[in-house]
Amino acid sequence: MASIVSADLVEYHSATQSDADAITVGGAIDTLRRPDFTQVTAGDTVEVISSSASDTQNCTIEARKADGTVVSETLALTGTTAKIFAGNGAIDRILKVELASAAIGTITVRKSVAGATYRQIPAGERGFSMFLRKDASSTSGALNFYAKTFWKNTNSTNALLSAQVSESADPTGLVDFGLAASVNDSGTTTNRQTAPGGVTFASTAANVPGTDLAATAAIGVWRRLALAQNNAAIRSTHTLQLAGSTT
Amino acid sequence: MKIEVLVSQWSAEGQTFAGGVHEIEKPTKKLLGLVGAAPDTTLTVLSASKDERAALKAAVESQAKSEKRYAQAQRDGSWHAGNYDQYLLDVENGSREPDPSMPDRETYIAERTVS
Repeated sequence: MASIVSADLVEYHSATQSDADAITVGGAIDTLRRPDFTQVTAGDTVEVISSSASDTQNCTIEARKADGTVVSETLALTGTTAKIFAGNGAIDRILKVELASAAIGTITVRKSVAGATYRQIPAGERGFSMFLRKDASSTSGALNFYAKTFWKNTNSTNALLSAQVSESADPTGLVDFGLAASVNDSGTTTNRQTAPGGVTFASTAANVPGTDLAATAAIGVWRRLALAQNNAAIRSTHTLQLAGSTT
Repeated sequence: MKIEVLVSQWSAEGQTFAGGVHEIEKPTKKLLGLVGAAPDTTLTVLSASKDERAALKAAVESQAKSEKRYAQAQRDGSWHAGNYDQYLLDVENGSREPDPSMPDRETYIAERTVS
């Protein structure tokens, strides 16, 4: 097996994401769904196309329009022919793309018609979504929101040595992060506004527990979004990177 | 079948449903598939007959079955092809750093495919 390269290090969602206040957040890694960090060009319509003619499953795209409303559309894909999602008109940002079954080929989500690619869903996966995507500030005080993802070393042979997670971009300055206490954990928190236990949040680089991230292992990463009272709407992102050395 | 649309509007193959509760009399098999496929953040099914519930359940692949297909796609290399392409897209978008040690696409996939 080859040495680890950057593409072997993949960020995934945790089992339960934070769309609403009343549900538990976090859990074990969900290797079928990835967090997304890119935004569509405002005012776009979107289309979905696969490299395989067998991808004819239903696909849902949830999006936010320029006026702030959240809309959703479910359509059956048509394999290697692009399917245009325009039932709700132009959108401002994609919140979630979810397939009803695992992709057979590589599925591409792009600007319609035949425009720039926004994201690809590898074979075997089910979709992607933004984290911290429906969190609203309060008129009565500051609020924190929490979301959990995992960085996974998908290399099947080699450990990532002296592994470290750090911020690569925090445009808003409102997000920091902390690592789970152990690799491959399944820790949760009561809801998206409750801090997970045992996690220390900062914006500085954090060493992976146990120093190295073994082949196929994953480290849980909690993000904290700190919204001020009456915080203005945010159309931004927060990116982390996993780094280390390899043999 | 009665559904509650949890977003401002849900579109499904030419039909649109505004946010709120909708009673759908005699839903087609196609619509049942679309309702079943919609995430629980888009809509929730408030009531359905036994046959309708079976059709809704059949519309979505289980997590366990998808995970088996994910593992198979990693073994046969198809997952690595999409993963490689997504990595390049991340670099292009500025969300990942370029890695000078990245092999070309063909080599990357071949080195990680289980023969």
